[in-house]
Amino acid sequence: MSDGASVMHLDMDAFFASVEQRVNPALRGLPIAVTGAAKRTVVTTSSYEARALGVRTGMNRFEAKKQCPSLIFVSGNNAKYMDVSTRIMEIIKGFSPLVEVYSIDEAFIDISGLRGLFGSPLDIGRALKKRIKEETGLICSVGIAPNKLMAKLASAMDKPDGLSILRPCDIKAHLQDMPVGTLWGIGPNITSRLGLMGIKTCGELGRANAGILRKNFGIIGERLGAMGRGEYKDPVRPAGFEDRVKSIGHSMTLPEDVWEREKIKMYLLKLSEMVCARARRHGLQGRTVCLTLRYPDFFTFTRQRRLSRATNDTHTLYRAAKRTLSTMRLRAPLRLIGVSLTGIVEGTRQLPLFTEDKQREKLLAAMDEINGRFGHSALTWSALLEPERTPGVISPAWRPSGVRKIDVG
Amino acid sequence: MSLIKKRKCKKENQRVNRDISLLNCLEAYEGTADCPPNKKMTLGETTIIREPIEVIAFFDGSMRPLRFRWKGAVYKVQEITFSWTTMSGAASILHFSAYDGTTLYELSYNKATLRWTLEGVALHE
Repeated sequence: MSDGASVMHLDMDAFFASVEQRVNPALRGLPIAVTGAAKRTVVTTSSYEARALGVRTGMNRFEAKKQCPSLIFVSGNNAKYMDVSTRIMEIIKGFSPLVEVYSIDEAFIDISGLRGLFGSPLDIGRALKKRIKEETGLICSVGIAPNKLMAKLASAMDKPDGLSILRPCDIKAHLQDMPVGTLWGIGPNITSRLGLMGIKTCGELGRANAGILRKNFGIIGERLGAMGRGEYKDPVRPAGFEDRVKSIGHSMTLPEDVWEREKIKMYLLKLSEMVCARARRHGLQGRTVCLTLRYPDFFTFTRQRRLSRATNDTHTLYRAAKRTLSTMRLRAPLRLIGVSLTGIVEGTRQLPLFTEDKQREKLLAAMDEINGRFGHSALTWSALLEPERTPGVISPAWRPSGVRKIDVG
Repeated sequence: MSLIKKRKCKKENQRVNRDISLLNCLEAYEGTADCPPNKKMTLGETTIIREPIEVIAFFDGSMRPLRFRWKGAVYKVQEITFSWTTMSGAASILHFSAYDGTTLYELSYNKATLRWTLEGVALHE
């Protein structure tokens, strides 16, 4: 492409809040914050009106209300957002088959072969924004650049409802005085470490000695230097070409802090069932069980246990998680519990040798079939009848299809 | 009184009666788990109803609910502000946010059972 702009990044503006404002006309133009359904949830997204008044993602209800007394809280509806996201991704795929769904409200699109069909990159951006607005009523910001890193930067340049293009000839000047922390993938930790080395801007990072960067950051050192120059080699990875799934996990923030072991075990069983049901649906098994716990002071820690063989049996996972818990002395009640399976293997399994194992396998297959037909948890373990699971927050790993399509509704 | 004025008056009375009926219906949900007794419903909150309703809908490639009857009162849908689809097991469920000029309702249509449900009511003003 003559102007070198081959990647587009599309970011829905204040996605959850915009959907809620479309749904309820009374909320339009007002400061609203979308939260999870649980009592102790935090702000997941806020409208631009709320952002202007200082409301930020991650604030708890009290902090957000203190910042903006007129703030209206809306309980998020994950199923609604997932459906809208899937529709938006389908619209994008109508323009290019090379679409990488980065999160529920973001996607990268390879537009390098679209000029003949849709015109210049700016024309494609305009057409895409128009289609999304017409079909969903929602606005988005689009950034166009030679690579994913710069496209992501460009989409944030003119929010909301923006359309920006960063041509190769403009990149150097654009990055010259930009703080390193604004680059996608450079978080507070790397920013502060770079700061200690006297590197504060992207221009300085791009000019930094590659050897020194490698010495301080290891193999990512050179990559950081390239990022400072606006270079980024990762291509757009459409569905089916992503890295293999490395883990399957679920976590939940509990409605209230929990001390009692029996109650904790109940949540472990619930999480084990969710993890294993998803693994079974996609024919995956895992060899390592990870238990993640969080205290009320947000101190979070993980313990792992390796199993003798890979599994996706709910009770095997539950027993392993329970054993891991029994070896720990908790210093405080728990705020969050998470269970995950790692060391994922695909397509191999141990045939059940004993009658009990065969029966369990048949039972799980029957449960999965019933739940597949009548909805998840239509048939569940009696021990789980007590804890009602409130819809959680959509994980950034969510995708509209495949093993990362997590049912959080 | 002229005929037009009489009709206007009748329409207004119908609307007031229907709003009273809606308020009575919503009051019945106070004290339930979805609506604790001392909690006033505020903007942005939805009272969960989940009751079967009768609906007149327009089918033309897509579907659009026009009117629905809930607890004897008929509500005319002025605008469908949003619609989305969810799955309950193998059943596809269409959801509609229906605005009648004063209140926002969430209606759902289960494509497997062909039944309509009033999922919830949200305060509008």
